Amino acid sequence: MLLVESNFVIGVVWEGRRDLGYLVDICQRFGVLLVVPEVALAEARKTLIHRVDRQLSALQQLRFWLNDIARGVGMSQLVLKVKERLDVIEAELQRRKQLALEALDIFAQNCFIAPPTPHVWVRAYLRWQSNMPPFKELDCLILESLLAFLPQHKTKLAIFLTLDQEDFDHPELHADFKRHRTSMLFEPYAVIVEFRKFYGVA
Amino acid sequence: MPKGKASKSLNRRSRRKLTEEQRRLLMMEPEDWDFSQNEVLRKIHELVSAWPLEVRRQWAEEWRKEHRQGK
Repeated sequence: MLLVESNFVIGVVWEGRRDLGYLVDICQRFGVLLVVPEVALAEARKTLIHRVDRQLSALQQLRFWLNDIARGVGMSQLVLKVKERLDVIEAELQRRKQLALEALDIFAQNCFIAPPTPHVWVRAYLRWQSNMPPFKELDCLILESLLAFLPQHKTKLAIFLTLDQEDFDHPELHADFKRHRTSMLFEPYAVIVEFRKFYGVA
Repeated sequence: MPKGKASKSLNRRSRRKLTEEQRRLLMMEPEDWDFSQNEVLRKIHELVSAWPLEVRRQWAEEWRKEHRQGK
């Protein structure tokens, strides 16, 4: 079982990282469960569409000022032409936004989702309020989603790969995962090495 | 032979029952692997190709920077 977080999702879907894609491929071909917290998927979704939404919002602003400009004598026809082009750009941005979301959906369909249950929300909130690692609110939710998921799905090999070493590399968190016989690693290559050892091809 | 020892060696043996394709994949270096080798990932790659890779990586880097500064 390979547990991952938002950086992994964005790395595969958005950045086209080969090392992470390779890990997804291994998971599929070896029947390794690829587990993503639902919160991490939501964060990735927000990240992917945030930029496009900002561009769409800028177009709206532009339209507002064009309406203002169109009030001048002889300007309305000129503005109309610009607005027609803006409509084309907006339609294209909307289409691309849908494509990005579709890509994320396809990724999600090939993963096992760790849901944010009420129990997870409460524990994450308490962890965040108590200023315990990983400190950030979303990271606490990701962590608690995984810690709640692990006891229900025991496997011979369980690894949590996070690319966010800065926030997750704390002795308490290593101990939390160790209690569930799970190792926390920060490098995709370290996961590959563990897979090779496990399957006896090291 | 102790029971534990026997089951351990059995586990090891079952782990090594890999197909040639699996073995090849596992021994491959990640940089030699390509998105075209996996149908799902190839499709994902196609869907986001409307933005050049450098642009996507720059946006992702900006997101990471925001995340680092966030609470």
